[in-house]
Amino acid sequence: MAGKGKGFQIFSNIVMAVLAAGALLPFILLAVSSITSETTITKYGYSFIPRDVDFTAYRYLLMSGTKIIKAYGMTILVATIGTTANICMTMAVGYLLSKRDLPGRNLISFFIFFTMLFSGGMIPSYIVWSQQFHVSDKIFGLICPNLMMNAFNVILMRTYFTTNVPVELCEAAEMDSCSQVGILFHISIPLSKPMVSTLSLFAALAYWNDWINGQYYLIRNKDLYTIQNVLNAMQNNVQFLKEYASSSMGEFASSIPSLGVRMAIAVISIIPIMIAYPFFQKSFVRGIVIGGVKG
Amino acid sequence: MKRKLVSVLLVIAMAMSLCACASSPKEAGGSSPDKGQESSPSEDSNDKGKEQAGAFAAAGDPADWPVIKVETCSFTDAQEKEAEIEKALNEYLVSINAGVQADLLPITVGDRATQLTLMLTDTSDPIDLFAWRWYSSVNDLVKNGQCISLEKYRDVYPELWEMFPESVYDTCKVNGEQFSLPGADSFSNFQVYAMRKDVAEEIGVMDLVDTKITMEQFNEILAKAEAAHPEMCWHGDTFVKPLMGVDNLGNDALIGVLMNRGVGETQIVNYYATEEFRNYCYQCKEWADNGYIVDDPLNTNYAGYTLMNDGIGGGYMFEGYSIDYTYSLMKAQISSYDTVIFQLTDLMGDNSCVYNGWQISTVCKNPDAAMKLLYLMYTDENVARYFTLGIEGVTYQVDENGCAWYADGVDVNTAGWNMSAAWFYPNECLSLPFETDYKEYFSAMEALWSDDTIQYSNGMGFVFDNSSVYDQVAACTATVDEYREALLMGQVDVDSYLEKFNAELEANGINEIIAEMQKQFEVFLASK
Repeated sequence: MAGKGKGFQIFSNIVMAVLAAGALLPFILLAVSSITSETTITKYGYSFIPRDVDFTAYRYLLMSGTKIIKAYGMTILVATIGTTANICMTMAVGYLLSKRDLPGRNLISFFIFFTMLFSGGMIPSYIVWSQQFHVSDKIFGLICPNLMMNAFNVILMRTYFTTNVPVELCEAAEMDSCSQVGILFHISIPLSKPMVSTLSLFAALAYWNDWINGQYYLIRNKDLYTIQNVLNAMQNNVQFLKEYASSSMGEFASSIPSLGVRMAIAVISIIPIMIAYPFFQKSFVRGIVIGGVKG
Repeated sequence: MKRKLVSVLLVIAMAMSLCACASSPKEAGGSSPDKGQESSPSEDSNDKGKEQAGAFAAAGDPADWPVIKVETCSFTDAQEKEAEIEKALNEYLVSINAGVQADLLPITVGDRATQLTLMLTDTSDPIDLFAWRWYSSVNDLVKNGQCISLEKYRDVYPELWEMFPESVYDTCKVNGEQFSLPGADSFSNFQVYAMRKDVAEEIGVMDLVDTKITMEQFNEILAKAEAAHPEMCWHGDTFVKPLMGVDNLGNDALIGVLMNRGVGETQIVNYYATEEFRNYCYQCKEWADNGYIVDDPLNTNYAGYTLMNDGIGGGYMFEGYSIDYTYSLMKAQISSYDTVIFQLTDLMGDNSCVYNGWQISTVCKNPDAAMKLLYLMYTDENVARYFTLGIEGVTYQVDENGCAWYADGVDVNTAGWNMSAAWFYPNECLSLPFETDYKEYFSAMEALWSDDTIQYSNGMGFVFDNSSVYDQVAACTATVDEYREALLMGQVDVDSYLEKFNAELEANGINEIIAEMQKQFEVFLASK
């Protein structure tokens, strides 16, 4: 039995090592490509071991940094506001839905669940957000559509509140004349820190990595571009110029930052997440396990 | 304490959010059309403009004139001069009493398909004038209800229907109705091969430079070049329609084409089943086997000029309407080497030579005003130049030859306006040759419009309605995507792969498509 256990452990370790390598290798390739010259990549393709080390891309970012720094600032701002708004809404709705005596609870739950299965699609969503809510070319265009509330997160939150916050505790608080908001802040949230941290990380990652909202809702006001929008725009433009450069576009193609620069931007855009992740990891894992098992 | 901290953070976040939203989009990127101007066009051309626009002038205060939102072409999101140029353009429009003002909307090419699709549904802040190049086809625009018919303006602006060869206008019609106006271009082209001059000199082929050469001569040149420089490749893309000799009838999957670029042809054929395609595949295979094609071509998506600029490629094929024009293009595209040109095919016009067209969107609230502005973009050189070059002295300057260059202290990164896309606008021939000494750049192009010696495809303007064979077209297009590139890059055995390719196309119904196309093409020919 012990032998079998050891064999299984070795097998598991090998599988996990392969999976970890699968997750890690793209980042290594990304980092190596960012310090490889454009000509070398064109000539020899991508490589895990750099043929020559060239920091031109990072020098370019330092030299022409205003746009990148501004975009970085926007990313932080949007991720901060968006995550705060997201978690506030998720907690509020999750808390309400955790109340078994809430009138219409099942109907509201169904409406929320329904959005996990079906969406209105790109054009109807755009029409609603741009013509009814007028978020185009405003920071709200980066925050409100798609990301501000996630049905899956609401269901996780509701489940957590339902299963981990003792009803008796809430009832005792009610008997002591505590309001529902008070119960949420004084009892439910303090008892749900792992889940709140997990969902905050989900939301922060979603905002940090989002480029769709910028592409849809920032038509004219490019000053609000986040780092992902800058990177995505560069990528799309370069791809376009490669495919269609049949006339005097060569000059522009050469003026667009090289592959190395794009790789370098990608590297610097993931650094904050890589730094922040370990701090959330403990709560993150706990939150996922509890939310998953008891859901 | 913690709760207070969270509350403070929330308040700060909301305050920052409000501050960030304080600046309106107009302040950030646009301009009010009725503000003063900093640069005005010359008096002479101003008078000319007044003469042209006079018949369409609107009465009343210019501040009440309709403002037409018109897209402009941008390769990057750095278009800082947009507000200044818009202001100058609108001052000019006021000076000629045009009755309409413009709201310029730069859209970067990479995001254009998505953004244009969304904006063409936006009735609250509609885009009025847009181009179909790289976005859609006139047929699809009409099918999707994205543009309106221009027929009612034919009598109001007859000049717009008299500028180009008649067959060119047909390419922008659907069921005989004009929905779009073609953008000025050469409307005909030939295939050329550009090679590094130092290599051409080294292998002794300078006597063939600037002349039309045969395929045998071309292959000899490539063989000599490869022998001298085996480390280089000599081809970028081999999907080159003039050399392949087809009129694609507006479909780059080449499902149903006219051979001989459509000149004198009335029979739609399945190109992939022809001897011509088989022979071209053999040719590509030979190029690949001889080492002329870039290594790992199926995974290397680099443009020919990129390969040459990086010292990997020694030459590549592209299209042009005159040898001088191609040299002019080379100057813009190749910064590292001098190049020479060999002409590979004759000058002809087919559907693939009409690259662009402009139309009025269905969400436009004032089509008459939009048409006025479109008319001025086609006919008034000052209006055209604001779009193509920006403001003289600010973004560009003109030399003694009448060619435009970046203004002093300005380059491609700091110009704040895209001046390399004159071809995107309705009439580039009203612009000035940019960053070139070839002063006949546009006049030579314009001369082609009245050159009776140029042969045009019989299929000019034919639009295939594929609704009855839609599934077959989708399946065959997917098959072409799967097989063609490997054949054109010479990476597979031609006979066996082509047999498999054609069998799959037949199984997916290519013969039904060809039959339907032929039926519609005969009706089209009878209607001409």
